[in-house]
Amino acid sequence: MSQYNKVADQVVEQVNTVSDAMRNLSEVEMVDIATAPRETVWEDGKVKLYHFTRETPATVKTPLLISYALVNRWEMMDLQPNRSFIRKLVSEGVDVYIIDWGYATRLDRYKTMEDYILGNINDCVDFLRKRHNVPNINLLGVCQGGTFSLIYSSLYPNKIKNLITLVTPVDFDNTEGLLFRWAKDMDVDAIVDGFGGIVPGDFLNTGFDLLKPMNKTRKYMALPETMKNKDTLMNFLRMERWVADSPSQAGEAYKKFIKDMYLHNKLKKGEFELGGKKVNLKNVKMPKLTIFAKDDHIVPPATTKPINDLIGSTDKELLEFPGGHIGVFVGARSQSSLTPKVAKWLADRD
Amino acid sequence: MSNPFDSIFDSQKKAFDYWTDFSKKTMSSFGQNGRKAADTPADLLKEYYEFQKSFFEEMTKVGDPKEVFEKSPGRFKNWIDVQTEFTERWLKLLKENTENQGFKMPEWDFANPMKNLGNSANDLNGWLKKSSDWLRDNVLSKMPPQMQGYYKDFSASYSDLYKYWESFTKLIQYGVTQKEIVEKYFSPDAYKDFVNKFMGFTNVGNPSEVLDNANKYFEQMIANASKFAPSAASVNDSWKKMMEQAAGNDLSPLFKGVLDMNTQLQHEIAPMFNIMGEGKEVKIIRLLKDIQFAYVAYVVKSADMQTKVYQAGTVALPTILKKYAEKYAQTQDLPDYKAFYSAYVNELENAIMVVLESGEYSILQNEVAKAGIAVKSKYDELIELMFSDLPFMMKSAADDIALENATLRRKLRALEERVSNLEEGTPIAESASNAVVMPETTPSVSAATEDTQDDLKRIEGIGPKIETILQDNGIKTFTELAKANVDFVKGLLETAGPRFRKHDPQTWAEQALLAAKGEWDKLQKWQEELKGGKVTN
Repeated sequence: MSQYNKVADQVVEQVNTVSDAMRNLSEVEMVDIATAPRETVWEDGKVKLYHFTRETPATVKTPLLISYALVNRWEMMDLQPNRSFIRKLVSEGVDVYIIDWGYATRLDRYKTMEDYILGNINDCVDFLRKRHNVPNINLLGVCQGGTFSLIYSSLYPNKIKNLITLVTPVDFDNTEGLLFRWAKDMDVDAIVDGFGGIVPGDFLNTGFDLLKPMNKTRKYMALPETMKNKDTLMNFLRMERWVADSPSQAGEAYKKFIKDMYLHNKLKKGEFELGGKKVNLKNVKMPKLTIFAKDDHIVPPATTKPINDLIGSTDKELLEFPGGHIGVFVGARSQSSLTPKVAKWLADRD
Repeated sequence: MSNPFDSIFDSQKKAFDYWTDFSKKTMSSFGQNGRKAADTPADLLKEYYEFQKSFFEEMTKVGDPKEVFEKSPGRFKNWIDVQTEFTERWLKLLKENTENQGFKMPEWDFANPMKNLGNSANDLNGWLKKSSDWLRDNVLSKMPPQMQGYYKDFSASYSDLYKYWESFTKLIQYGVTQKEIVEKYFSPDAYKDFVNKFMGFTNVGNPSEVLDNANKYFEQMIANASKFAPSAASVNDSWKKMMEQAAGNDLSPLFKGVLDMNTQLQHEIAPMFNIMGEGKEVKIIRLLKDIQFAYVAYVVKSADMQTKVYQAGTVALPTILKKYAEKYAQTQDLPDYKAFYSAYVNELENAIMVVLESGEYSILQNEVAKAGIAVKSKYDELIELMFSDLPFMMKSAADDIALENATLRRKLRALEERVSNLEEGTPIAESASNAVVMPETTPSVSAATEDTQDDLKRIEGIGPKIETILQDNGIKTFTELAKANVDFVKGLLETAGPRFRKHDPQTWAEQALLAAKGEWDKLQKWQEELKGGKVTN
């Protein structure tokens, strides 16, 4: 009899699910991401600099430049309107700019880390120094973009007022994260050259998927539940759109990043060179906020935590976020505590 | 004001519209069955339409239908009876038609619908599957194309799993969880299929069979290689066909022009094909061999890698069955479908992670990637070779442009830095490009920017005046001078006035480098060879 009721319950549940999902799906017209109002203020080929427009004057006077990773797209920072890292920072009074790296193609196969850091980042920093008529600006680097920001701030310490890194690896001598382990066996030259000098985004995504091989399965198993609610359905679709939109990697920059960082851990050892110049992290003397995610399986905390020991800053802070690599941007706690904290940290040092 | 019939009429109207629409769809999908004319859905609908029409026409003669119904309950009952009769006939017809299509409809007892569900489990499954399919198709259309493939595979294997659900509940009830027996219900092949879809693997299948087929295929290709260096005539034909297809029926004048031009081009290059054919064939054969070897390596290594993953995962199902069997023995409670598979997927992941974390897997994964990418890159080469005589720009040709771009970017950056240094008067040591590469022992940038000063007059060619000019422009130490660009220093002398122009700073950087390294003996010796800073021949 109980088994019998279970069947009946299941039918009723399924009927409800289907009708809710039908309604919700029929209302989905387009899956919109990155909706915070913005303007393009500078561009150089595929690389663009966006300014997030604001209705009220910024309370933090120094502009903030965000350097996202080359892997995946910056839209993660403004994925859904009510959980947008960028919108929240803007509403907390920060004047926010972000670099859009664009989509590398085979014509970018010889684009180097020098081109990205000494070229694009430096150009954007100089542009903002002029635009705001300030000697130095605030810089926030995300993941690989954080590693770039650290390198940049070591080379041009006078141009950066305050530096923040989010889920940024600096100690690549790690065996806990699978990406770090697999990279050690990777024949990066053969792979990059075989792909014609440009590493497809799908190839990287396959690697990310394997870090938790059943994640996608779990996500899809929960889909009927997800579809019952319009908001959760939309957020699922937004995340799907973001994950699928994975740009290819410029070969030369990719090779150097894998070899110098993942294989030889040069930045931490003080052996990393950019444009023929050695990068000394001790040159980073400006105030520094280092944020890592406790359950990050892409950039494990152990790869991030040593940052503050390697730099020369005296005003430095290490902040643990309770969540994963992506939760830093879209988690509920990101909105309620992390972003306000970042804004306050900047305001205190303005 | 509010009339109880308003809502009834409204819902009747909606139901009727929906019904009509649905019936039309049903008719169109079942209509071609060659049934006897008397009782087709179309006839039934027609009859019903006519009845409704005449019924309402008659009523409106008497007065407002709502009022008529209110005043005369008999008429209302009559109307409802007719509708009920129609519904029953319609359902009966639908049932017959669906059964003709091999889909069994449940015997609906409207008084107690749940009663009948239990008696027709197959129909229930069919219905569950149908609704799941509906959801799948609709959610798919909103997902990015790349993710559609994953989700399609996933949902297919997830609904496949439902077939095994009954067996699994029996195994749990009887406490039978040994791996060998479980495999009789959930075969290794079905399991592999399941893992492949969930992991996104391309199933290699039986490697020796795959390799046999692949080798045969490649041998055939190689034997036919002459076909791959196509004759001019066949290229002309297929090229023209391709363009025409692309143009479709709507040949715009512009497109027609392009088409004509290409036809002409093909005509022009035809003789070239005849001349170049031989060399091309040989190259094609060599590439095909390369692809064959890379492909064989890819298959063998993929099979090896997949086997490792499969083997690791085989323990998961018996483990989970055992867990629920033990629970059932105590509480007589069976898990529900979702909870069971959720637990299984977690267990499977834990088991597979052990393999993914091993050094052996890491090496294998890299080799699989390398072999797979080698197949791709050789194939790209083959395609380029085959079409190399056509008027396309090849990907590899674009590499030259990419290289040139890279060089230009570097040069541009160096120039920009020099300009900004000149504008801002910042120490030239900030400049990263065009700098003399310093040996390991020289002070780093930070040391150079500290407020120290060297006696620059120790450089042959620099007097007190020039030293001041350099210092004013941020060159205060030997290191900074060593790094300074010659053109930049020349520029400083030029702007300082005519009498400084004759000084040639060509050797200053190299002299400064020796000074910075403290190699004074070497410097002195060299300075003796110099006169006024100019190299003597």
